[in-house]
Amino acid sequence: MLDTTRPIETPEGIELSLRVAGPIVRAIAWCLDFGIRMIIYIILLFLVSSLGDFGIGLLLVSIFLLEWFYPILFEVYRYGATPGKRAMKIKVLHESGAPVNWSGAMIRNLLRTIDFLPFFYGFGLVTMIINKDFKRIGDLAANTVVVYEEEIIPVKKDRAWMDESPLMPITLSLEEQQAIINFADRAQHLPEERLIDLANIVTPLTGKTGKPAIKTLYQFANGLIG
Amino acid sequence: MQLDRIEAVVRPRNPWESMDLGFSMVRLWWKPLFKIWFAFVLPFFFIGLFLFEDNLWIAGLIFWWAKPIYDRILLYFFSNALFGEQPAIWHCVKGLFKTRLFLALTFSRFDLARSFNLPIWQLEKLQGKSVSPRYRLLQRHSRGTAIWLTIVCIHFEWLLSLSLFGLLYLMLPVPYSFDFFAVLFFEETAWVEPIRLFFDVLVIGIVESLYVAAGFSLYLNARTHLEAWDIELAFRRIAAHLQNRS
Repeated sequence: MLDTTRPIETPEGIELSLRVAGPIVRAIAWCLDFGIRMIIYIILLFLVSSLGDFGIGLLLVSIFLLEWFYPILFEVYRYGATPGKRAMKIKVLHESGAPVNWSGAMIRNLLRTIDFLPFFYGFGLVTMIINKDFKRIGDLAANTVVVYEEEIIPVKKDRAWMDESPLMPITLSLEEQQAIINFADRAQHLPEERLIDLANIVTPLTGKTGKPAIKTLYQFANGLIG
Repeated sequence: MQLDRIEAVVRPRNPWESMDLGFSMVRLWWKPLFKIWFAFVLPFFFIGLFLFEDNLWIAGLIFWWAKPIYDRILLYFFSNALFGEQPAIWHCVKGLFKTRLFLALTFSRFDLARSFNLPIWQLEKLQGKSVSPRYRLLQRHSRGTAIWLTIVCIHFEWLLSLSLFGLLYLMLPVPYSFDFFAVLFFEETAWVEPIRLFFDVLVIGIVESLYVAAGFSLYLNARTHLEAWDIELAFRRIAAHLQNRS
């Protein structure tokens, strides 16, 4: 099955999947970071303009430092996300799912020079398109991936869909239980005909059709959440 | 449409993530995809080269303007491949009919959400009164992201074609080196123009297929959210599971 995730196993033996981020969202994040750096340079230019040649030297040194170390420092100290990445809700992780460390951040950002070739990230873009996990050359060398920050949508326990909760006729797998909870959770955003359609699919489970089936599913969901 | 034959994981994604799925589609099916692409486009490339020998930029412009035509062929390919059957090229060409092609080549050519709107016209084939509420419902969900997709893809396009030129330049031995930017932008030498046109064909082939696939999966994601496709699939599995048991 086609998907944009990368399975990993945590040291505790839990299977997780990282939702890797592709070129479009990363390009926008890069542009935001670039814009931020540009604003800093313009401010610096005003600040040092009265200092003459010394000021220009200061500006050039700060451009050098910012261009090379802006992403590195943010990725190490701000949980893998530069301000642009934070705005797009993505971050850098080590392949194993661990936070990116100094060596990882250094390698992936110093290799930007290669990704930048031959013109404005041409190589980087092509590698990202070809690679399964949307890695550019720097990511390949540093074993890092860029992932979407997890949006954990907790099932709200306070929202009860029905008061009584009849027992499920059979035991369902975890995934199937999740589907019933999702159904109850998203029901208010769906039109009623669609809800009836969906509920009619699982008539073997509820033993009902139409609106009573929806009601029974709510009760099941309620019972599953507890 | 048979949802249970879909070859991608159906889950409600955030809009950016859903566009990445389109990129994965291109990576997975690049062979049949580019076979169809080049079989369709290369004849036109040579005709253009022959017809507009003296002003190749006209051929380039026409080629760029005709993007909605390729979009329809590419979308026909993706929408079938996603449900398990990869169509042959003549089937894809048949996909051109009844898809508002004339409108797309004139008024809607500069619609910034082009790739997202295309599946609505081409795949749902709506008629009459049901069109505009349907259209608005889907638009409300993803139009903003679709516009960003277009903007980013425009940049990918020039970036890749300049990269190809840059690569060519890097590979030239020193005695033949030339002023890169002067040649690229100002000079009308005999060899630059055909190469530029060929790079256009190559780059538009890559970026346009990514663009159409991303718009298509953005559309699929909007429908997954609005119609709970993931829940439908899971419920079907529950039903099948219960049937097996009894």
